[in-house]
Amino acid sequence: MRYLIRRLVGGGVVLTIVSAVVFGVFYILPADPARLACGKSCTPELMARIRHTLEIDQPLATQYGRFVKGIFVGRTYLKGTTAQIQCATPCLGYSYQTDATVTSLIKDRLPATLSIAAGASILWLFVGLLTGIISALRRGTWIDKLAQGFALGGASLQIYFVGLVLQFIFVDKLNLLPSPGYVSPFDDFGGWFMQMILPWTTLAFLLSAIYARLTRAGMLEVMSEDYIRTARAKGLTKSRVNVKHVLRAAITPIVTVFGLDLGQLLGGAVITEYVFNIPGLGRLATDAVSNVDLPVIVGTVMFAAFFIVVANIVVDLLYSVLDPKVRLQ
Amino acid sequence: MNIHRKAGLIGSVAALAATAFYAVPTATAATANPSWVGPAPVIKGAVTGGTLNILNQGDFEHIDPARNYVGGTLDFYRFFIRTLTQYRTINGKTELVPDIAADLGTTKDQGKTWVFKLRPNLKYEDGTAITCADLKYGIERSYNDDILDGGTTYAHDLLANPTDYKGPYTTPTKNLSSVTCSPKGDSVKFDLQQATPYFPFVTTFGAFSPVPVAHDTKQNYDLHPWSSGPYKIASYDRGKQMTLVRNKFWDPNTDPLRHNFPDTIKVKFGFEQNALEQQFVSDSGAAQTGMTLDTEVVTNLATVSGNDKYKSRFFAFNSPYARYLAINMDTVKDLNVRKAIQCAVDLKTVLLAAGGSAAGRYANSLIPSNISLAYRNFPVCGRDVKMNPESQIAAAKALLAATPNAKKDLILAYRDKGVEPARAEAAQQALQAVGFTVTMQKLPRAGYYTAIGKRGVSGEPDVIQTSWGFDWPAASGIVYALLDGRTMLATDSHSNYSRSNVPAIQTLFEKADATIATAPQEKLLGDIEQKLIQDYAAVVPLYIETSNFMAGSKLGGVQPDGGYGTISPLYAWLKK
Amino acid sequence: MSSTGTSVPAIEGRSPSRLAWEKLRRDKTAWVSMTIVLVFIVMALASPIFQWIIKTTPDAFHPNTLNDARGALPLGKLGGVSGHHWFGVEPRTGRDIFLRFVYGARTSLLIALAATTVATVVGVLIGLISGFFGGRIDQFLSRTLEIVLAFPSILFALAITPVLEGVLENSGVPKGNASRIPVMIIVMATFGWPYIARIVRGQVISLREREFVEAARALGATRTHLVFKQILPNLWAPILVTVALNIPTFITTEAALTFLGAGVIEPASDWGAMLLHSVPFYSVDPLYTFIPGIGLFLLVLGFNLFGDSVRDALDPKSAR
Repeated sequence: MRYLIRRLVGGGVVLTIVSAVVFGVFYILPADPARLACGKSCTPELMARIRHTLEIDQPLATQYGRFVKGIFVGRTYLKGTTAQIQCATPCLGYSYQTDATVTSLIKDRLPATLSIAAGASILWLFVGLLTGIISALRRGTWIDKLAQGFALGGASLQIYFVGLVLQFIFVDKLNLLPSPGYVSPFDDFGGWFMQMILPWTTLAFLLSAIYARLTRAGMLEVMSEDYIRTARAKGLTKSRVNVKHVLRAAITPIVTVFGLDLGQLLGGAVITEYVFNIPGLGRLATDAVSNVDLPVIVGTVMFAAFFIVVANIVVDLLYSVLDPKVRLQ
Repeated sequence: MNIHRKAGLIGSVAALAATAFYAVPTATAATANPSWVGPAPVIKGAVTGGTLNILNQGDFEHIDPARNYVGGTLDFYRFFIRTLTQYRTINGKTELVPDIAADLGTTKDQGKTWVFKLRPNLKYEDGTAITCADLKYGIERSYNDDILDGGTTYAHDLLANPTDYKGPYTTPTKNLSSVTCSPKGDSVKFDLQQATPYFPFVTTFGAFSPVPVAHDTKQNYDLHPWSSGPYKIASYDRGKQMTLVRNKFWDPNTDPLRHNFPDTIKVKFGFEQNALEQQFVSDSGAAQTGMTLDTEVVTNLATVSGNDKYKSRFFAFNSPYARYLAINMDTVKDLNVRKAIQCAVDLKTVLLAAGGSAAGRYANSLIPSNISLAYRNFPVCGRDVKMNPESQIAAAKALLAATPNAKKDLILAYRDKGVEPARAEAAQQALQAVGFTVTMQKLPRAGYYTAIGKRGVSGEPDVIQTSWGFDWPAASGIVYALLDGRTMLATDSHSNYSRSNVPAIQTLFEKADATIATAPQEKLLGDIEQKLIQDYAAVVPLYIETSNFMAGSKLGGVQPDGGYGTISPLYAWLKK
Repeated sequence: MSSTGTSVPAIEGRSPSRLAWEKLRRDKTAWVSMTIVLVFIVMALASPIFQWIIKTTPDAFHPNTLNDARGALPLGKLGGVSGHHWFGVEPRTGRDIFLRFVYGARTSLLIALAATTVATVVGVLIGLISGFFGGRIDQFLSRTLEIVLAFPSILFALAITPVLEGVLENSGVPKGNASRIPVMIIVMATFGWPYIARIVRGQVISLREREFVEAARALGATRTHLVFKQILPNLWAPILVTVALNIPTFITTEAALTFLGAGVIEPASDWGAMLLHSVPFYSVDPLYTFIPGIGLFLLVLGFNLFGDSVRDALDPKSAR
């Protein structure tokens, strides 16, 4: 318990520093966000007013303080001279370019990213572990060689290449799948599933390769450990040893990698979303970058960092459950 | 003349169709035209009923008439917004017609004051009468652009403004005295800052539409503008969907340009370009009874254009956009160097980089050939660019050789968007082939037009790749904005990106300002444009872009709109 | 050494590096992968020669190879493959794909190697300091590392590229690739060093207490001497493995950044940019997608395989 609290506090500190860095860096951008928001018929007076509503006229520290405060207690943004916009907790900022709070933008985009991450991670974990286990148990056979070849190939391929090739084959040539995109599974489950197949398989193909390699290497290493030999010598059946000891020991590092990969992915599968035209968090962020929509950039980067930090903490906790050797103080 | 507009929106603003003809209003014409009375001309084969689907990538920026400035939306929102005047396109012919007005306006002082008669018996969606006071209020609220951002600024720029008038929200006690209703409320009078012969074009914009004070919810009016047209908003879930249903108080006999064939119109947002294109190509799902208002949806021209399978559903027509290179006359002072640039640029590789002849047509002028009163087909660098678009290498080299100490290091600015980098590279190649050294200045999408208008800054570009879509189909909507140096500031060229400010041309502009009738003014503006291109080499026109759209197979009545250069849903009907 | 018990020749004393080398030399995969990598390196270095043979430049447009009426796609089969244009031409520009491919290899390798070098130097230094000194310094550096790893790297890289570029340009570096490429190297190295630092730190901690270091310390060696003369020479194996496995990561990151628009500025050739441009054409001109895609695959595969071989060769426990 004390360990958990310490980890949480540590995560909080990391997030605070990340947010300060992100905030500081992006608010010294060469482009003037007020000028971009001002648009047509921009008079110096209107510009000054926008600077005021965007709060660029405040010192950086003040701006940052308000940003942090907004996350915890919400805040109000000014629009024009009279209009006020409520931004409820957790307020990550307000995008004047799209007239929406960053939180609501993220909320709109999160389901698409979650869809990709959930389906793909189940698939890659399953395929990766299975391939790795078979490979390790049948070491040196043709199955192992095939699996290793697949793993090496997958680890050397790129989403933006494989994605296009699969689209070319399954969408354009064979007409088996619809063009990838996103519909809510609650509106059209079948459509959602069909459109997600390509992103899932592409991601899973590339990532399961890495997991297969990790699993195989992990299992082989554990199998050569003395205690496994002892277990065998004691007369335990081979499969029992494999399941009880080998897999359990080998899976620990995989949990780590999986947690970190998932954390990264939840913050926005930037390239996957780009290749398959899926309006998720990654697209939100890349669009914000090209529009120099600062509040959205800061908000999405913060949100992604949040997932990574949380994933780190969860991984550490899982570690203690899975690996009895790790004892937390 | 203060035609100051949001350059950032160029590329989405008004346009005209290839076959369109513009009935230019003569300034004194008052005679009522029988075609100005409703109902709108019959559309052959059209039947009533069904649901029309409109599938868009993103939500409308704004549908509040005071705030919208996007071509596709200007076209679409005519379903529920009526303006003083409006465009009507029938059988490929586009003309300006009175909408809530009963005529196209009359002026007795060469365009400084305008009087429009108003149509009687018009009603909103709740059955209440549309009054002249509502029209005036609609104009007034467009002054409150701190709250109602977006939209055109023509009312503010052209009307004689009372001191410190900031709109009804900020200055409720003040009166926009330059707009006056007749005692009976059957006509409206506008006092302008100066003679503006093209004013009836300007009144097609949303600021010149009636808004009932009682229903004005300020910035939230954007969610439900009170309908004066054949449909009203039944529901609008921002970012997701909008549903329009019939407005039973709209009377076709009062409307010379609108129909209401579908029972329901559903607008859905949040499609991705590729997925949308795929849906239209395969004619599947909602796309079968649908269309999109987004430009640049059909990108895979190689598959679609020229394939008979898609012919009946594929629309290719002149978009509003003239793509061109502005030569910075501040930094490239030598006429021969500017002419050498004009000769060197290879229109062929430029258009190929944009996608070839499916993407546009070579242009010698920034005025599209449809604007017949102003357009003329003159040679650029001694050749007809339509027959001979290739680089004139020898001519360019000769010009450079004849110039001692010619400026040969050029900075070429371009926007990082779509095919624009490839086009800029094509220009770079051609310029380098004649002996220039070209440094590429790639600028981000956001703020591009602000950046290229900055004068006297370090690294100011010598050649600027840009484009223009005009707000109304006439030379007055192009030449004043792009080539008039009189309103230019020392730090900001406005949209005069070539910074042209030649005294001899200024005299011509003054002459054009003073021209009473529209036709002679159009001719004078055509002269000015030809001179600036031929004699001063201020710009290199590249091509007039073609718009490519697709619609579903079950839709009839879909056509390019001459007023906005978009594909119009206004007469769409559903095949049984 | 080998647990599979391959025939052991006459017993003689051999240094670990010698052993590793021998092992590597006998590894067929190592030879194949090294060949792949070398072919690409030679190809990249020879790109001006190809330019001379083909008698055009990678930037030159060839409008006559394009079909004006069909969306400016290449004329002829397979995206315009011909005796003159070996890999065909780019749609809409007619630029020679082969030349852009070989110059693209140059860009990829150059940036990836530079980023690897920077990340390795920084990572090794920080890992050394962190591991050797321990205590507060280690605490501080480990936190820094943790924070860097908490950034969503690709997203942050995309967002920060224009910022850093602006900073470079304001300090007088010319616009364009002159400032963009250094920015890419900095950004990639920034997110790359923690992995190296972590490995080095771990190794240093285990070496720190070993007898030979203790002995040197007892003899009064300075810290600098201990770090650079005693510990560093014992780290070359893990560093080498990390470098070998980092290069392909950087190659793909570079391509990804360019693919997302935060990479090399055109007209400079780059594989990521080629893939990006091929997106609208992948269904009508698939070869244009395949060429940079396969190139990237082979190069990364080559480095990955080579990295594996090096690791196996250096790891006494490994058995292949």
